[in-house]
Amino acid sequence: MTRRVPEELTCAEMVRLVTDFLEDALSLEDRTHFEQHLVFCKGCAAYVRQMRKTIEASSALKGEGLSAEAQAELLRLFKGTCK
Amino acid sequence: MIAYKFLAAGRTGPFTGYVWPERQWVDAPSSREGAGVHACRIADLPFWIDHELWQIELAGPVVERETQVEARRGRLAGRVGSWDARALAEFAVHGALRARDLAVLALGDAGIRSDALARAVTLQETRVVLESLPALSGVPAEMAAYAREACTRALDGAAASATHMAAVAAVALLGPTGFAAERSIQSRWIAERCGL
Repeated sequence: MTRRVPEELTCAEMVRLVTDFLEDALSLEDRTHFEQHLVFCKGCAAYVRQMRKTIEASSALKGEGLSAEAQAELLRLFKGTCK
Repeated sequence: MIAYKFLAAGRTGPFTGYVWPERQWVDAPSSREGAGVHACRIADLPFWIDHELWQIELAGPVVERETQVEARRGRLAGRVGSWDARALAEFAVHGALRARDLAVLALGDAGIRSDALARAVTLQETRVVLESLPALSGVPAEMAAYAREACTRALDGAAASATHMAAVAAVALLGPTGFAAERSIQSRWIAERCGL
């Protein structure tokens, strides 16, 4: 279906904006549209909850006990995704 | 100013996770625009549906925006008890049946008889009738799809989603002004149902 309400965000746009939303970096207008989308879209609401939990869980990791090989592999994968 | 605020269960802010105290003034965490205490006028309610509805007293400068108001301080004055699980479910049904009504109009405009759809009373019945319609195209097909989806979401208990679908369907049928018109119908429904 086409986007019938132009000022509303699509789910794809929500995914693109989620980091800015969680870092409180959205404009007031975008934030309002983002939050309104969360009210009616269960999928995006679940996605944002999941992102919050991931950030919370990964913040608790200290990096201790991670082997040099695993660290190198993670860095390689991370650089790959940033290309 | 007295306004309204939707919260998740347990007086919890749906986006911040902040648990609101009852009857105590709460100051906005910062003076930055957008970081204030948000609340609804009656017309704003359909945009922010959640499990609990509270009356909130606002203080300090109150900025009115398109779908909400923002103040520097707020105090939950009392819960709107008539907004409960049953009201939420009824609101979902309202949204789905409004989407159905709009689909009936679209089908009529296209010369397609839809008496059974107009007569359907329950969401299940409405969905069955929608699924048994002949192959449609264009606006009637789109409207039938919105109505079917709204029924599915209402049956799933997703009131905000079902009523949003009705508002989108109104745009498809009536043009850009349809969205605000449908949200207005929904806000009146909430006000009447809850005695606001």
